[in-house]
Amino acid sequence: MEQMPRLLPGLIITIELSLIGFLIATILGVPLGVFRAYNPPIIFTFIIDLYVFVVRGTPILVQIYAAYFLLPLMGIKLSPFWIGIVALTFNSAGYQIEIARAAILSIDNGQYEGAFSLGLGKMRTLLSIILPQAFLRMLPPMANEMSNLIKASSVLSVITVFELHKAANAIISDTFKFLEMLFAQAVLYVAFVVLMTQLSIYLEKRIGTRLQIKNFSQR
Amino acid sequence: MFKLFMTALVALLLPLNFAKADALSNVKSSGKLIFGLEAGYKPFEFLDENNKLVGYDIDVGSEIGKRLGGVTPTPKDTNWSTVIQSLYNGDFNLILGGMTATEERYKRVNFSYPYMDASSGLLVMKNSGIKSPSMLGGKVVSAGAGTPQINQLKLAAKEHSISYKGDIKTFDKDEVAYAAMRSGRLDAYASTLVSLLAFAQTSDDVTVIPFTSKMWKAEYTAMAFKKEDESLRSAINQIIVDMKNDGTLASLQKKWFGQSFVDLLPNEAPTW
Repeated sequence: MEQMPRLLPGLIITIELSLIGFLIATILGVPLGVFRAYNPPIIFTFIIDLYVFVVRGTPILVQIYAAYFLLPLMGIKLSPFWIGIVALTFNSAGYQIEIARAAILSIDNGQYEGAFSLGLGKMRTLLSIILPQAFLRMLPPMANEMSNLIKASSVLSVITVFELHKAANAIISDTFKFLEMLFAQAVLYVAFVVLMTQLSIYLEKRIGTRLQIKNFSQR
Repeated sequence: MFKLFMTALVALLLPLNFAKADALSNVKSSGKLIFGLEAGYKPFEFLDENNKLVGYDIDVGSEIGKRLGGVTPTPKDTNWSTVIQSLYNGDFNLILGGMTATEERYKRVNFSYPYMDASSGLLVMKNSGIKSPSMLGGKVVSAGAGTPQINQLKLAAKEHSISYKGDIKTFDKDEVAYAAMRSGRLDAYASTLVSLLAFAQTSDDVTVIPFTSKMWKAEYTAMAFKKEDESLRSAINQIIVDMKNDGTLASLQKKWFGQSFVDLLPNEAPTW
């Protein structure tokens, strides 16, 4: 436990990787997933489905190595940290597309019928009626995805990103305290994951309450 | 469709470095000597309690940078299993990371003169009673993934006409093997003598025995270069000879390994 301060720089990098990667993946993935849910022209459907297929079908280790070795060959020179962001974003966006798509599909048809009968246009229906409900349903699987991403970031140690797992490995190489460091890093991962899942539960309650009040006042 | 895909892939990978400027003048003009290693191989290279990269290789690299004349030595942490790939990708000028010169590696890189002894050792539990490789029959043995010790274990089995219990286990990290041995999963772990001794110093219940045989030749730690980078390799070979002659290498070895191995090292690059 006296080694904890040596793990902190790694923990900070893990937090940065997870938050930045997740955020960019959400910005890319959620709109794409919503778009995909409304059956866009076949070419878009094909591209998005192919992307999801590749992400789901290949191990994250392969995706990380691909980013590390292929991007420089394509003339894209990034530091290992940003290659890590690219790989995590690439991976997470694929899953978030499916989360967003599923959330949209889970909204009952009656919601559309109701909105149209009130004279709302298509865009208005999507923005004011469908999306707020869909966002609420996205939260639990998103928390799931976030916790997966946090732990997936440990694989970035193979491309020398100095995140939590790599920091722990460095201490093991120096002190040979293998089991102790295994336990120490587990504790820190758990703490970070719990923090993020609690945040999701808080958001769920907050958005849930607001939606209900809004619905109530409209009655 | 497949052809099209492959063509696209090749086209994507093509913009490689075709410019084959002289490696030595490249290093001098860039002002940096970048050497690849994996920070996690005590005492060759590891992070100290301030997360600062230290070790024998770091000191040797600084000395070489100094003697090349105004070149900043820049160690670069990389993944060991893909280290040769990264060398050819241009991530660093040479590999200076406690690499044992082997025939398999020689197919892809050229080696410098040896700068450290890389004899093998066997780590065993003190109470196991194992005193020599010939006593390993029916034991669970293991070595680091991708290390020459795997082949040596096979040769040793042949030499002593013994067979191990199950396959030879391999580990990505020495430290995982040490933990596995302590929990009773392994009877012997083969690695380089010096790295095993570094571990044995921290732990009372294990001991290290020499792992030698007539079946393989003496082993050395050497720096590795791209096959075409001969100018850089010969310049550094000369520096290694100088460092041996003026005692610098011996004092660095005493600092990190507790003793000097310089007398064991020939001024001849390992080839096959």
